[in-house]
Amino acid sequence: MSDSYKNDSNGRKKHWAIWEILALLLLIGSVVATASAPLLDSFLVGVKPNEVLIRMYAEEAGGFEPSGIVLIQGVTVRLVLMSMDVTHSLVIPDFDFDSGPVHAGYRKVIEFTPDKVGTFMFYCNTICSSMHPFMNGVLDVIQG
Amino acid sequence: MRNLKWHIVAVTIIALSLAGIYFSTHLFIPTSAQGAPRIIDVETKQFAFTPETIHITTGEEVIFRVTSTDITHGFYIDGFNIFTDVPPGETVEIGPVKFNDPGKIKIRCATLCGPLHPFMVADIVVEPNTPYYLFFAATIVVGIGSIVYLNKPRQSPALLKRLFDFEIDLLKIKKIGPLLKRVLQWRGIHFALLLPNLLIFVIVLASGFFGNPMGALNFSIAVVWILWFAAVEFMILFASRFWCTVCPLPAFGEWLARRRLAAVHEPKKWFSLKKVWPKSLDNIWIAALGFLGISLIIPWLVTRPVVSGLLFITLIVAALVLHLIYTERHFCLHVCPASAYIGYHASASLLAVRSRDKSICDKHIAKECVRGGPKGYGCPWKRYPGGLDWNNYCGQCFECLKACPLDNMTLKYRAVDKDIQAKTHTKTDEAWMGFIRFTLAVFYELVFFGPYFWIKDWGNMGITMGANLLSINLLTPTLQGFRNWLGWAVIVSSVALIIFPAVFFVFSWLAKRAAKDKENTSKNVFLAYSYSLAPYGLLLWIAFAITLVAVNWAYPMRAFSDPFGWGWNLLGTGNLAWRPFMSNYIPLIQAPIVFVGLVLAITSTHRIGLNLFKDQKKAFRGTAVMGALHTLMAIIFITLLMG
Amino acid sequence: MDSFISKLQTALRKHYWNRFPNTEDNSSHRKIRPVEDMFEYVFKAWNAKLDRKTECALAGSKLLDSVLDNTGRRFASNVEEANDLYLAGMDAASFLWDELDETRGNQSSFQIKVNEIITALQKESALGKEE
Repeated sequence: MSDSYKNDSNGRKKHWAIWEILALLLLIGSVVATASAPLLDSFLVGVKPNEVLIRMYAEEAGGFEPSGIVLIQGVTVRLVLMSMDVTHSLVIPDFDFDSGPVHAGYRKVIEFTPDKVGTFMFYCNTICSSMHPFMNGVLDVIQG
Repeated sequence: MRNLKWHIVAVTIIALSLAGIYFSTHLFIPTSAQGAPRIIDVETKQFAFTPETIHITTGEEVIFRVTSTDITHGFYIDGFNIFTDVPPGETVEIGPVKFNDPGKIKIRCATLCGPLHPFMVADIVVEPNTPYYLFFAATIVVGIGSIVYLNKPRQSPALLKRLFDFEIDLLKIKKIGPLLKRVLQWRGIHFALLLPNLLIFVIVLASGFFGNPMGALNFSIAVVWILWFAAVEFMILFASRFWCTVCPLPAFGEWLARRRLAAVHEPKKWFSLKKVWPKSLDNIWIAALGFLGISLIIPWLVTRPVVSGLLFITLIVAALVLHLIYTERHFCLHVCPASAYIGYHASASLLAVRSRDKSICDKHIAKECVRGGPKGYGCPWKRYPGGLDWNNYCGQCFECLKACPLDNMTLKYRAVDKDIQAKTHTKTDEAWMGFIRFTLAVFYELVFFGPYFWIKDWGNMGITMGANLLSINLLTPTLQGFRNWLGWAVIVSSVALIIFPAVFFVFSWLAKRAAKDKENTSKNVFLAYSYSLAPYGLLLWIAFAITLVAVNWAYPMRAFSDPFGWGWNLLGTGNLAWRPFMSNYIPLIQAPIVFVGLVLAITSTHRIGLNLFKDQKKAFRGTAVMGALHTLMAIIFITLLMG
Repeated sequence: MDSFISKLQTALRKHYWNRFPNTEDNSSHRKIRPVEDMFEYVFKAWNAKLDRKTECALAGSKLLDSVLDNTGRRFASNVEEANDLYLAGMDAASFLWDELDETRGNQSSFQIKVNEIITALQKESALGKEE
């Protein structure tokens, strides 16, 4: 029969409180951290400084996000086009820009240099829903 | 040993002949194309191909001319490396494709086109459909063979006995056993298992409400309804109610009521009203009907993130509230739909929490496993762990392993229908859970992976949009859509609640007559026989789950890297392409599973019959009749898969 | 009063004190600790205004658990040990619960009663040994 009993009565029973508090802190911390993950979207989506992210939803679900973009004339940017639900495409008729189809869940990165100043429309050119004709956005090119 | 030798000889002959027939079909393929390839026009729309079924002759070459009537779809054929876009307004020519193998394969949409995209499927039957004829015959052989064997079940040779009658005490296995025991008796184990799962639920809720409205790209749909859902079916067979062990739904309620996350609080002053659960609800009717209710909205539940989010938040709130009113796991026992079905099939599981020596429990007065003690709470599932012989309502929380001061609780691995063997069960709520589960396994295989658009459309209310919480208005149906949904609801409910049980009743009545039994009521025979659906339904669900995972595994894998569907890539799997895994061989994997289910159904039917009629001859006659029904259902399922 | 003490003493002697080497005398704190633990539990449970029957039963389990802890074991050696200690503990706890009811939870009179019981246990066990 071993003599190495646990700590005396008082000490043994008190340990649980420390573990409970630690567990509670871990619980609250991890839940809050996980729930806050969406806030890190702009960091986690992996878009670099000279890139412009455009998410494409069917018009009923929001259309282009953002629907208004501002670029500087002559400055080359990389347009990151991401389809979110079905296949979309982005065309800017005034610049002869056509991204081609972008599948849902994927992104296409295309370099674009706006050479004119002004306000232009861009559209989705792949039928994507019944409100497809209304899926558009505004491109503002300002003086460099 | 003489019997075993003949068993092996018989099985070998059958297997060889079946294989021979199968491969001989390949001898008759014309090696050169006969004339120009056949042209087949295919139309795509959200969410169907037209025609829904295409018949092709073995050896034929086909060119598919595919168009889309609405948005961009894709074209993929099981077993072929074809993943072609079909944009609207164009005719895409695919092929020539040569179909060398007879059998049924599917055309699947290969480009995400909306919520029901994973279920946008058409059939190609390459004739003659010899694999189907083969498995049709095999099903009959398996069914009749099992019945015939049970006429005079031979004294099993020692080897078979070890295979089918084993029982292993898991905590006594060398080296692993004691380690496992220490882990399970550690008070922190439950919390340690719950916490990661709880965080996953946080992601499910967050992505369900605020993530990408397209289900296939959203964690709350892709991981829950493809990965988790399939995993649970396997878990039930191999680990009983292990999902309930780690389920975070009742966690908040239990922690609050106990005022502890892991420790045992002494004295046990509960934060709860401690009301008594009403006797009339001391069953699984709410849960079983809840499960059926969920199936009425299943086309939305498994494709719209917000619907999943709403379901889970409702369950969490219900669990919390019930815990604070009634304490203990009454939510789990009587309300949770998942618990109802997991529990129902758990009786057919290999794993069980049991006492080692019931005589010790009999002599033990204090019964800490029920009342609680310094080292553990009393069973929160209101069972008597010492006398447990029925898996269904033991949630595997392992409190009893911690509470028992006599080291008499353990985990056992044992033969599948041991629980059903033990005694006759005749609970109506359990019987109906069995009917609902069995019917839905067949029904979902038909609806989700069959080519019949109308029924999918009815269930879906004709809506083509996904939705999260912020866009929930997109789920507003038209009047016609709602009417169609009512049709779907009527079909599902009547088949699950009335039609199949009625058919089952007719057969069990005939079985009772065939057995010439006068001791039991028809109702009891009917209810008792229904428990054979516990192993049978489970295996059919496993077969269904295999298709789900084999075809759509890429979606949950992507979702782990991109839970919200916003283009993240946390683990590097964010851009995985959709590539069905061995999709043309899936039915060949599913069929043996169906056969195992059929054999288990028939053998457990026989054991139930022995308990009911207490006579081998009578039981056999009953088994013959019920076995015919089981075989018929297997044929229906095989036809859905391959015919 | 005496019956539950002798019952308690019998149970402790049979399953607990006999594990100690003979050289240790009866005033060793460890020999009495399980009883103290149990009585401490009864006091807490009474103050929490819980159910008498349930808590006295749990006090019995507490006695067993404390005996196990103080002998370095996780499990009881046999059913008899578990039953004897449980029943003895439950009876002792019931007596003290009634005392608490009578004195309305007066801590000092509770402590006095506890000390009485412990002294009685130690004395009788000492007598017993000499035989």
